[in-house]
Amino acid sequence: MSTLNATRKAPQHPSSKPTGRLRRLFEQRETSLVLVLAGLVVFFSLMSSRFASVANAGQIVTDMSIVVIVGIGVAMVLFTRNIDVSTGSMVGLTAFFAADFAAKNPGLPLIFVVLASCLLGAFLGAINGALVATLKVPSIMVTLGTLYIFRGVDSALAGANQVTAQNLSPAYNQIASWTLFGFPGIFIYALVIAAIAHVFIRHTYSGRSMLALGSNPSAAEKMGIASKRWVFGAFVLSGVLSGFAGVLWGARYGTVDSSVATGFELVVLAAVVVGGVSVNGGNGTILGVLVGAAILSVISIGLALLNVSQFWLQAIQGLVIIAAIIFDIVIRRRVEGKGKRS
Amino acid sequence: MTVHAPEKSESGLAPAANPRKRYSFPSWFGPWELSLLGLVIIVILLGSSSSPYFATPENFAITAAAAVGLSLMVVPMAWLMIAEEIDLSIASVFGLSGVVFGLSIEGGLPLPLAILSAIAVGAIAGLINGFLTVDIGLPSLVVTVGTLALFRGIAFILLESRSVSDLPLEFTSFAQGNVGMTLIPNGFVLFLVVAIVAGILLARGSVGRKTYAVGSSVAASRFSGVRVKKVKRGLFIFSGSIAAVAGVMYSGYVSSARANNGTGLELSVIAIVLIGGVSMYGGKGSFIGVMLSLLLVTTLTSWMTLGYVTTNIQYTVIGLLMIGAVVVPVLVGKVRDLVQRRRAQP
Amino acid sequence: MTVTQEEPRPVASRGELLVSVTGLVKRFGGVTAIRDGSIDLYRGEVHALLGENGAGKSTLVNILAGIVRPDSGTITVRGDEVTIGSPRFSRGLGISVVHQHPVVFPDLTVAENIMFADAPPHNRARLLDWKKVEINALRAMKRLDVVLDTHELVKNLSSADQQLLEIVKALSDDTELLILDEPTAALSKREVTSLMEVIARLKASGVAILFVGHRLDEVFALADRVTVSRDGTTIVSGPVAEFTPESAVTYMVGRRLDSVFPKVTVEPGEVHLQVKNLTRRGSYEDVNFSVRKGQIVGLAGLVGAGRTEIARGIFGLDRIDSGEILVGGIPIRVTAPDVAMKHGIAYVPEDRTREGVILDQSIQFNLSLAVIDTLTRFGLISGTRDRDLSQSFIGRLGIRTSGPTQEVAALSGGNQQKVVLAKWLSTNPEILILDDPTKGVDVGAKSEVYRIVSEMAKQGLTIVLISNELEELLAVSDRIITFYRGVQGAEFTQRPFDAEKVLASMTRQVNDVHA
Repeated sequence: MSTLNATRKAPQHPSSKPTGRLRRLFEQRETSLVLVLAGLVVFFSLMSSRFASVANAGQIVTDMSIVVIVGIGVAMVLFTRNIDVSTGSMVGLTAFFAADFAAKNPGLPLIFVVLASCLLGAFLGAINGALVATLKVPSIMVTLGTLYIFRGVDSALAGANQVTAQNLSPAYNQIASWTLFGFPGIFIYALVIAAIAHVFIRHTYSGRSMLALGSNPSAAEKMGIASKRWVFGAFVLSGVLSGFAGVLWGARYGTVDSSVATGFELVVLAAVVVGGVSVNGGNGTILGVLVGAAILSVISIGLALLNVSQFWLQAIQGLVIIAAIIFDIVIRRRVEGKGKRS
Repeated sequence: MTVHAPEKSESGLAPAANPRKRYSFPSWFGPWELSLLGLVIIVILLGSSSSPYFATPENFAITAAAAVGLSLMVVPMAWLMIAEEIDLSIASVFGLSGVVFGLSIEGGLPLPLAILSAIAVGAIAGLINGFLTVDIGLPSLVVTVGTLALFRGIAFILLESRSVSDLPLEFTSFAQGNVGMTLIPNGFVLFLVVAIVAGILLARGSVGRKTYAVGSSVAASRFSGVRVKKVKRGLFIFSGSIAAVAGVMYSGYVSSARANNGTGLELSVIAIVLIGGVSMYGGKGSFIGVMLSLLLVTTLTSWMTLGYVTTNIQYTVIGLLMIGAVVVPVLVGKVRDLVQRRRAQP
Repeated sequence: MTVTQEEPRPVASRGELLVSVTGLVKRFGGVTAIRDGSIDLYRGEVHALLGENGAGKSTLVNILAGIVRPDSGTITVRGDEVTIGSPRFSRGLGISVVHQHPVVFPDLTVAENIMFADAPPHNRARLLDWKKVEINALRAMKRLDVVLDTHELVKNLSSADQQLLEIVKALSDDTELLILDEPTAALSKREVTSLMEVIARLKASGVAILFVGHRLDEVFALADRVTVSRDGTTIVSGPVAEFTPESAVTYMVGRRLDSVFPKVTVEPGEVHLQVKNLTRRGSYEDVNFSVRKGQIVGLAGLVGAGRTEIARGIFGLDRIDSGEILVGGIPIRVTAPDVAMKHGIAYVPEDRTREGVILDQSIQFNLSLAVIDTLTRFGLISGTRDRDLSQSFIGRLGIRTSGPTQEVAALSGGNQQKVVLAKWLSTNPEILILDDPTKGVDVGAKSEVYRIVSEMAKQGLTIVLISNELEELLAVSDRIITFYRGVQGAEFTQRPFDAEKVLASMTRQVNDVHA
């Protein structure tokens, strides 16, 4: 909407003055998230002496790792303005498959188990991706359906059986528990995957294309960005990471049956949304996913240490999601309002 | 300069009526509903042939009574999805209201008051969903994921892992009983009343008309004087209240109010509405279709249960049906486009 | 910036033929966007493409941009016939497009948006070379002397800056044809002047420029050659000296309207609608007018002058920042459309398919929506009253349809508009605001629409008519008020109106003048 009468000053924006950069840093979602995380850590440390211990830090970090790994996949899907709620079933199915596969082939090098599990995950993700990208069915509907379907396949595969730690080779159980400089292996995996994902999203043309696609799908079409390819790819990636998480699940929890990771998709979604990844696409960082998962883990473990009944946890998770979304939309509106006034 | 006269543009006539008069379906029973009916008949036939207990009045009674919660929740969900909204928290309200009901009974409240307070809680939950969606402007899909956790969480805070089983006899005998000497469960009758009223209002009521309008085009509805926000808010409150009624009835049926009652039920509810032909984009879909879909899913589930198929596999079948329901219209559309394109080519 | 030509344009800078389009046809489903399109674009020449909405201009742009492929027709570039299969291919041919609505990624930075317009620079590790991205962005902006913060997220930019970014993105060193689709819509006067300078520079360097526009003052100041399209057909094409703004408008609109529809004089009654000092920041300022019963007041102006915004304010769709609305002498506060409707106001909106009708529903559904609550008993709609309402209006307004249950999407534009009119007439309004009521409506239905409007005036309705079809405004209105960029201009009170004076008032800012 053009202005009236008034002659406007020509837009004088000096390119990247230091104050401009600093302002942008503060405006970024991740900054406030880190502050919130820091605040929570301080709060719980003050309230409970057991919180600020190395052992507890290890707990938190382990707890959040699988969420981070799957969360990165879900974040990729969200970047393209889609959603994936089938991750819980994908993790459950691949967890049983991997554990069963490893138990039945004790001599097989674990790398093959991991590859097979990731491949299965890729296949599952491809089903989601094909339906969303080619048939243009809304992703919420597709992934709600596959949430059911994959769980059913898991059930059929597992029946009433279980694979326990005893069935598995010690090496398998060790996948998650080795340490590096005191950090548990599972966390190292999460960090490495996060690092690769970050470089991909931040520093490659393909990564920026995915964000562009979610930011403005019609513009992406007009500029010739291969939307179908990236949407499909995002879902496949979500599947692969779920597959990897499936292997880790058995290693971490020891027992795997058909009910593994039921409801897990909600935990992952919560972490990602809290971490600032917008459901409208185009927005969010891998760091955000890390911090989001950390916040949720800190809250859940902190509350447990404070002997707050575990029954408060779900309600708090719900509140946190709602708060995160409101925060997201309100900030976005304020920013857009500033810009549009011409 | 060169000037061309344009061809005489369209004369404003409506497209010529088809020379061969095609049979046209009434708007409330189209090809989709017909297919659903066909599927129901097929399932009933297959079910009766595979199990002698299937097509019996007893089985009907058991199935209908057990499905009272699901059936009731399908009603407001159909309305919401026609209005292009969704309420993923419906099953959590179901559980929460059961908990409130149970705690009220435990606290000594007389039965009618206990029921009313449960429904009030449901309505408030709906109000919260409505406020966040309509007034703050958050997408209902994500908001109700949050409230799904919040309401279920509150249920757990209130009742933890206990259950309230000491419910008034008059209530449980109603919830578990049948009408008079028949095999028709009371819960089923309650559902029928709600469904019939809601169905008539949706198809022929002005509030139903507005719901379809809002689901088809918020802009055009707004420009026509429809209070879009009011309609949507009302639908969420409706959803919460009915979920509460369902939760209370279900607690009576299983003689136990628990915080985890109905966990995961929202997905079945949504699947049934989608299979019923309600478009994910709003504005389309008939109540009859949703009812047929409910019938289909419950008979299918009954057949599978009698066949000792595990719950998870049952969910898989429902999941497949749901994906089918959303994929088929897309495929049909593509085929139609192809046919149109071929016809347009001289 | 005046409307009439001040000096003859030198024809010597014609240059060679760069792009030639002939016999273009494009259909979208059942709608024919382009029936027979042709245009010749020469190097170093600014070619203006004029036409109303629905004339096929944007489709032509999209075809040249490679976003849409034509059903038939020939496109030659530098003498060779080509098929423009994709946006990248179009760019490869040297065609750069600045779209009407910024095609940007709001969540990414200015530099990244510029990057997507071209091939991205990679460093050795197949990662993005951010330094090069920055350098490319700065260089692109330098071409136009535009200064934007490359690290700023595009969503934080004003819409004017976003439009500038669009233009920056479009230009590259290889640009031989620059297409500008309504580029000045969001720009202030000063920014428009800068853009004009840029275009002049490009022209001098031999770039061919296709300018799709609405603002006749800008078009006539810039263009060397003009082409007018109507209803998807190229009507006329020639050097700009052979046109005047009036003749251009005539070509855009078609036959002179008074031959199609005679004006009926009605004795105006008392003042029924009054607007005082109406202001909405950023849209319109200090609007004052009054309309009598039985009177038709026409609001004239170019696209973006603020008239639709005023109508939306009166109808309760948007907030008004200050000022008063009086109905029957009584000031009213309109907070929502249904409140406006209670005061007897009806609004036939500008965007028929999105705001006027619900395409997927039947005529009956649409027609009764505004009065649905009056057709009910105990909350249930009376089927007979619903159907009768539709049948009566189908008859009254001459809506050509197979029946009330036909889907509105199946109707022609003119009949759809009649459904909208019927919907509003069923509310028995006292005040009827019509926003571009004959847009996308064929000539036959146009006259029928105005017959209905005239009938309503005779019955004493207070009518406000907003239209971009000047011929129609001149023929139908009792008074005309002009607007320019949200500011009220002159009020013309004597029929017959002087078209040139009205046009002159519409296309630049003028103080209150009674002519």
